[in-house]
Amino acid sequence: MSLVSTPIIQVRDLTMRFAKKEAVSAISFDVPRGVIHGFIGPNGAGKTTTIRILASLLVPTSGGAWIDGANVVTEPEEVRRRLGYMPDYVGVYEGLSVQEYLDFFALAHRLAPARRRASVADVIELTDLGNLLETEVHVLSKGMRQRLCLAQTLLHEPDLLILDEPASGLDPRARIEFRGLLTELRRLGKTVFLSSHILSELSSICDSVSIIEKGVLLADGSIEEIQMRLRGATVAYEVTLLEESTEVESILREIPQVGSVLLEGRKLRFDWDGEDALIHQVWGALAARKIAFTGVRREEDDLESLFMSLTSGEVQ
Amino acid sequence: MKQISKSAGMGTAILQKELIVRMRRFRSLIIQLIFAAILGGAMWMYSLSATIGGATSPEDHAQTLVAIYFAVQLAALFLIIPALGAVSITTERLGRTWDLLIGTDLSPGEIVRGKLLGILSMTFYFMFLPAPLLAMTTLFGGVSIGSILFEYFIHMLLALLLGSCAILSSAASKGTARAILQVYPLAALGLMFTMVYLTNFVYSEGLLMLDYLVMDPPPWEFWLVAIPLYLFALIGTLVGSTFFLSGVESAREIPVRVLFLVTFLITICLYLYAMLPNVSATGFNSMIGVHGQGLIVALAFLPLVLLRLAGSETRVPLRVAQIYSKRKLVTRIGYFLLPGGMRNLILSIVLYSIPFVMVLLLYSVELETLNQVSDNFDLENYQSRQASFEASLFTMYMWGTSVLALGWFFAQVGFGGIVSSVLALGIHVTLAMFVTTMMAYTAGSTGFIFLSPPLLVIRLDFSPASMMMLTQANLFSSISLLVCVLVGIALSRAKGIPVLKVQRPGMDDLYLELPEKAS
Repeated sequence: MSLVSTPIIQVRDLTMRFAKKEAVSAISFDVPRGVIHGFIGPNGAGKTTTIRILASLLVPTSGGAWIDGANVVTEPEEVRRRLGYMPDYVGVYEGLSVQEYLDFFALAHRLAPARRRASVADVIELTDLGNLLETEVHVLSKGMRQRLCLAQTLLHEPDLLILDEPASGLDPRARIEFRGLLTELRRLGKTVFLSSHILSELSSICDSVSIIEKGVLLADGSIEEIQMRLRGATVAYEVTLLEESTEVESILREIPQVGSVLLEGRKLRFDWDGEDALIHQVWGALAARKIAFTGVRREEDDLESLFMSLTSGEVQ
Repeated sequence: MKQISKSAGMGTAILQKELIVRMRRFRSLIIQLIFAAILGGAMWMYSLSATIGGATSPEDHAQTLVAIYFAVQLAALFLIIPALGAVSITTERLGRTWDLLIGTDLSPGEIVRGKLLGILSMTFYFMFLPAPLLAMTTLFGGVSIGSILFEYFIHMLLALLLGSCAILSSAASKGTARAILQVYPLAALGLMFTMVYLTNFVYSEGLLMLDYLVMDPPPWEFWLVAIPLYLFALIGTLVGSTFFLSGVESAREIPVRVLFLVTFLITICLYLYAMLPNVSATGFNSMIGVHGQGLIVALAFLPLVLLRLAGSETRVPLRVAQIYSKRKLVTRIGYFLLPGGMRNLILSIVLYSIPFVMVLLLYSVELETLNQVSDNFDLENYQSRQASFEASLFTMYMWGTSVLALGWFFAQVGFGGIVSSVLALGIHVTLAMFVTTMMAYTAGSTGFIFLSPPLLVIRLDFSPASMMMLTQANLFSSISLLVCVLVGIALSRAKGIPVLKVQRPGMDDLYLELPEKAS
């Protein structure tokens, strides 16, 4: 298997037990390269524990995790070289300017002087911190601190970024800007693994998600895949008829792929259990009986409804 | 290819950051002002008293001024360095920058070195600011530039040790308050001792340390003890700090064990060197007399220290297992220094045995001197004391090893290092209390005294009955040792933990190789 096709994060039966509590229970998932992967769960679900294990800051009780092929337990130095980690709370050094802060971390990553200067300049440009270089880091707004920390994680050019709740506490504008930054990073070929409980943030940018609750992985994959697993192949359609019709219900029942049908005035709702390519049968049957309609809406589960249907809302 | 810089290796990154952060703080300005005010105040007070007290020679003034300066500087070192060091690691933890820091390529050792250099740079900056003025005092005579430089050198060594102690306290604490509370009593003790000594013998005479050492040079054996002791304290605190900052699966135990071994060997060598020429069957230093008994008492307390090794984590840390599988030759040479399994007990017993071997060595030297003993030497009395000394020594040795085995056993059960040590010691203290209570309630009956060999050795009257009790005590210690070792081995096997092999079979359910993802 080529390196490119190998998932950048591989997690197998990962378990973390603290004194009396199992924070993470035998979770397994993969994250492919070059995607934005959301790690979703309510507070206390085990997200931060999992992330700290992936960042090689915690040793799991059992199971294992690999970052770009490096074992988080036996090769922590290699893991830290291959990823950039941004914790849920961004601590900064009082008294350092933005430029000094980035220079310090570039030096701590052992980048040679020429490479260090280039790398710092690159991340400043990417995160748009150019006009704040002389500003002391402790006076930065939360949004700017998040940007600075993201810049810091990018200094040693890791292929993978692990971000723990990066959007929490940000105002709407900062969130939108941060989202744009993440999309740009994906365009540059980086893989972004981020945890959040703000689902609207994730649904618009994530290629795939893992949903965790009480330390147990409930689902993972793309939103469509999870939907398929939850609901099977059934899709609901809502049709707005031009006029009320009593025969429409019987027309649809003649088509074998149509499941339940519900008619309320001009609103017709039915379940479709067939392939998408065959839905034209429905529209054909309605047209043949001269039943006109003004709108069609395919009901798809969004991330929020998937999350609500999968989780119970209990925390550990 | 990514360009790599070695400059961060010595802690340069941390040093740069520390210097910028510290020097920009308002607090640093306040410290500088207070330092200057105290120094200036002390000098002004002296100038007032000197004027009132009448004329003295310029040489005397110069000597006294410099002595006052260094005395104040010494006190300032004891006040400032613990404050700077105690917050060095805890502020990273509390400020949540620690995760970012260890996410870089810096090792815990480099972070400790960087922090120490940061503290020293700040301290040396304070120390050397008045240096040009001090140098000018040499114009008045009475003070040589060599004396001033030597004084600075001693103060720098003190700053280095104080800084590393403060960092150790910070590394071992979760909170800043605790770190400060731990280090200041030590600093206060050091300050008290140093100031009492220096003000009474050195500075009060208007002397500096170099002048004092030239006037009244200590025996060269003093340096033989002082230098290794200083190095031990310095290296020990740095190794300890790195230990606390490293992960449990790292090889952090190995330097600690090497330090234990080296310390034991150096101490033994120094002791032998000091004692050997004085050992004589008739003299004050008789091994079966004062020194032998003193050593037996010291050996009674040695398990307190060695339980740290015997009761440590029974599993081999992952990094150690990895190093062992890759570098077999090096690790086989130092096999007993590797943590985990039975090696914890073996190393602690080996270290415990070294002082006993040393006593036996001195003892045999002493026996040889019997040939040179004069006619009126009481050979019979000597031989009787010799027998009781040998018996006491052996009983203490057996007891010590059984305490270590008990600590090791508790670690096999699954208790942590500190809990195992406390349990092992607690059981023996309980036994001693039980024996004392029984003796009190049974009119001095010594039926149970074998349960507490140290009590028995203290009360030994060398009667046939008490010698019999020594045999019972040895039997008790031997059985205790054997039971602890055998049950400990059985427990290890039941848990799948190797007793002698340097392995982590299955790594306790941790996956080292990537398995296929379950469907």
